[in-house]
Amino acid sequence: MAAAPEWLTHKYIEHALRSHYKDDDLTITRLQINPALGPGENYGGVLTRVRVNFKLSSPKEEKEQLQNLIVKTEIDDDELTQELMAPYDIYNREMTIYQEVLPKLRDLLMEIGDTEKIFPTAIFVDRERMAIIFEDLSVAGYVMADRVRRLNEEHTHLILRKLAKFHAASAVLNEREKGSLEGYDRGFFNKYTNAYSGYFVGGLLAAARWMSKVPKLAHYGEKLFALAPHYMDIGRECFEPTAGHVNVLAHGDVWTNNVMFKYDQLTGRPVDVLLIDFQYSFWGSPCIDLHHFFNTSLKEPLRRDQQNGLFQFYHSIFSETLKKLDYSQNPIPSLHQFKQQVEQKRFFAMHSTVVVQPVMISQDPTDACFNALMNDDERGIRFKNRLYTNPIVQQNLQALVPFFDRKGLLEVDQTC
Amino acid sequence: MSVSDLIGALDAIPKLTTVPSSSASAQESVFLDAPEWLTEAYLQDALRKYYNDRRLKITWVKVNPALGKGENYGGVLTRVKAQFTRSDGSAQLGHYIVKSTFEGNDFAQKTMEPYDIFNREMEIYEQVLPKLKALLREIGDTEQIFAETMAVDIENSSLIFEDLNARGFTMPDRLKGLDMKITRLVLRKLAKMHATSAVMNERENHALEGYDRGFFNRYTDNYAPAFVGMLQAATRRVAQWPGYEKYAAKMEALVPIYMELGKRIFDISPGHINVLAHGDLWTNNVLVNYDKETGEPLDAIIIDFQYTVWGSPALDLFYFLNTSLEFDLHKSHQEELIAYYFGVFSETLKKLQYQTAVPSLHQFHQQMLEKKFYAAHTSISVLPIQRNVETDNADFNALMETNQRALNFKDACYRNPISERVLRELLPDFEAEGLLDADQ
Repeated sequence: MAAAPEWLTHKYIEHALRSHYKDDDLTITRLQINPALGPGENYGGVLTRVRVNFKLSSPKEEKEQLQNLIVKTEIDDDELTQELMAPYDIYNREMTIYQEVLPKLRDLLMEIGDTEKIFPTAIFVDRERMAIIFEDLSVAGYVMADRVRRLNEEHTHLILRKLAKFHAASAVLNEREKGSLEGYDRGFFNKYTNAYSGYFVGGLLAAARWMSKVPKLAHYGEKLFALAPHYMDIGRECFEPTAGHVNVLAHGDVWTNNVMFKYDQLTGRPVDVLLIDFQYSFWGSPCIDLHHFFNTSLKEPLRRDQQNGLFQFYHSIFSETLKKLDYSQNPIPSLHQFKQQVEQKRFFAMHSTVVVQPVMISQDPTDACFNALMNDDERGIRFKNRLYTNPIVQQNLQALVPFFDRKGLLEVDQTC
Repeated sequence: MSVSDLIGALDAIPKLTTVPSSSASAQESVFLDAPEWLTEAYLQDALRKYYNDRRLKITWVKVNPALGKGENYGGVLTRVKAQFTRSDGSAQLGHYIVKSTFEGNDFAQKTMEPYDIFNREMEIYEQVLPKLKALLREIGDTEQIFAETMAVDIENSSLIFEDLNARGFTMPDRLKGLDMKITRLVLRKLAKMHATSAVMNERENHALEGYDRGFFNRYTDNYAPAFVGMLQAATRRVAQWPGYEKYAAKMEALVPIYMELGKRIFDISPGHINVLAHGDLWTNNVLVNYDKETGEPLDAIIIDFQYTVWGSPALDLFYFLNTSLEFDLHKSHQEELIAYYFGVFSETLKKLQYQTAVPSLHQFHQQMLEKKFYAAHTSISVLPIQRNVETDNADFNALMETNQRALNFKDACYRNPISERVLRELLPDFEAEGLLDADQ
C-alpha cells in the first residue's frame, strides 16, 4: 500500500481543521493515520484515512468531537508518467471543483428546496501539496460496490437521480455565471493531448487482436485495426459540446468505483449514493456520462437490453430540474430529442464497452498498475492482452460489437 | 384469400357464349367488370402503339378484376390476357395489368383529388422510372426494379403494364409478414431506386423536388379522418388492456398534433440526404418471384407509385419495416436492415459519382432517428389496416369516413391478433423513446 504522505502531521491536520471550523484555538486530542487503498483499486490518487478527536475552543465544550477524514493526494509517479499526465491537470481540476463549483451547485439545488446530498463535502483544499481533505464517507456508512459484480436497476436509479440533478444544476450555474464552466475542456479526449492513447488505442488493438482469432468476430477485428489511427480524433469530436444542446459539467468518469452507496442495515437495500472523484470533469454532453456509466458498471441484462428505460428515467429528472431552476439558455430537450443526442454520442458507448470496461471488471492483478495501462511497452501489451482473455469480457464483446457495427460505429468515416 | 386464389376462382367461372365470330380461334373475348372504355378496340390500339405494329390484330381478350376487397384502396386494377397476331404472322399471348381510377365514387374522388395520385403515377412511370433504369444501366446494373410500362393514357387516367403475374411474380400474403430474405431483396431494390433518384435529381437541377404531396403534406389534410381515426380506434383498444392506461392516455393527447407530427416527417430536413420515396411501400406493392422447386424468393419488383414524394429515405424505410415484416424482424431487426439498405444505397451513389456529400452510416441512422415518429405512426395506424381480415367493409370510404360503418371498420382492424401483438409489444418501446409524447 502507498504510505501516508510525510507532511500529513498532527500540526498539518490541526491547521486544516482550524481553517474549516474557523477556530484558531481548536485542539486535537487524538489522531490516527492509515493508508486507505490497495493496488488496482484506483489510479487517481493516494488515499489516507485520518481519524481525529478534537475540541473546539468555544463555547467551553467538555465533549470531544470525532471526525473521520479521507486525505486525497497526488500519486508520486515516475517522471515519465507525470509528464504524460500533466496536460490533464487532474489534481488542480478536482480541487477547483470541490472548492468553487460543488458548493454553488448545492446552493442552487437548495433554492428549489432540494436538500439531497450529491457529493461529499471538502473540509480543506491545499493547492501547494495538491491535497484535498474530505469527510470520510465510510464511517458514515458509505461503501463502494463491487466493480466486478456491477450494479442492478435499484443502484442505477439512485445514481441517475443524483447525476441528473448534478448535470442540471451545472447547466444553470454556467448560464448564470455566463459560461464559467465552459473552460473545462480537458476530459479523457481533449485537444491538448493524446496521452491516453496508450491505454485507449492500446486497448482497442488488444481487443482487435483477440477478435481476429475468433472466426465470427474476425471481420470486426479488421475494422478495429483500421479504426485505430483515427480513434483519438473521433473521440475528440465526440467530446465537443454541440451548440444549441443543453451541455453540462459532465462528471467524466462515472463508474462503480467513483460512487459510494449507503445501505439500510435491516433490509440490505441501497438507500443513498454519493458521487466522488471529479478529476476528469469537462463541459459537454450529459450523454457521455451516461454511456460511460452504463457500459462499465451495469449488470447484464440491464446493460444489454434495458437502457431505454434508464435514459427515460434520467431524462425526466434532468428536464424537471432544469425547469424548476428556470433554465433558459437553450431549449430543454424533449425525450425524443434527448434520445437523438444519446445516439449522436454513442461512439463513447462503444469505447466504454470495448476499451474501458475490460479494465474495470478485471480480476487479474498481474501487472495491474497505471504504468502498464498507459504504456505500449511489452508489459503494457501483455497486460492489455490479458484483459481480453476474461470470459465475461469476451461474452460482452460477442453480444455488443455487432450492435455497434450495425450503428456504423466501427467505421473510419463515422464522425461523431 | 391470396391473389392467385382469386384469379383461380375467376378462371373457374363458365365463359359467356356468343355467336361464333369469324375469328379462327375457338376462344371468345370476355369482359368482366371492366371500365367501360376498356374495349377490344382500345387494347388493340394500345398494343399496336407499344409494338409499333399497325397490323397487329387481337384474336381474343379476357378481362377481369385483379384484386378483391381490402387488397387495394388506390384504384381499380384489371387483368388483361390477350391473344394477338403480329404483322409477321406470329401469334403471341400477352398478359397486362390495367390500372385506372375509381369510377362513380364521388366521395373517393373528392377526397383523393388534392393528392393527385393518378396524374403523379402516370408521370412517374412515363418520365421518371425509365431514367432511373437508364442510370442503373450506366453502371452495368441490369436489375429490374419496376414493372415495364406498356401505355400511359392521360385522358382515361390509366396505365397498362406487363402483367408480372404471368412471369411468375405473385403478391406475398399480406396477412403474413415478409421474412429476412424477401425483406433484404426489397431493400436492395429500394436502395437502388433511391440512389438513382438522388443522382437524377442532382443531374437534372432538382427536377424531382416538386413531388411534395405524400400522405402527409402541407396542402391538404383530407386523409386525416383515416390516420387520426385509426389512432383513435387504436386508443380505444389499448385503453381496454390492463397496464396500458398510460399509453392510451398519451395516444389520446397526440390527437390534436398528430397531423402536424406527420407533416414534419415529410418536411425536408436541412443537411439530410433526400430521395424520391415510393411513399406507400408495403407487402401489396411488392411482387415476388419464387423458385418453383425450392420456394426460395428469387426476385422482387416494386409497383404502385401513386404516393411518390421527394423526401427522407425514412419515409419508405419506416413505412416498409413497420408494416410488412415478420414480427421478430419488425420488433428487433430494423436497425440491422437499415444498415443493410444503406450499404447498397451508398455504394450505388458512389458508383454513379453522386456529387453531394453522402452521410456515414452512423450519421444516416441519426437522420432516420429524427424521423422515427413515422415508425410509431405506421405501426399504430397503418399496419392494422393492412393486416385486417374482416374484409366485408374494407374499402376507401370505410377508411376515410367517420360514420358508424367507418368506426366499425376501424375497430375491426384492431381486433386482429397481429395488430394487437404489435401494439402490446411496441408501444412500450415507442413510449420509452418519447415518440408518444405530444411535445416530442
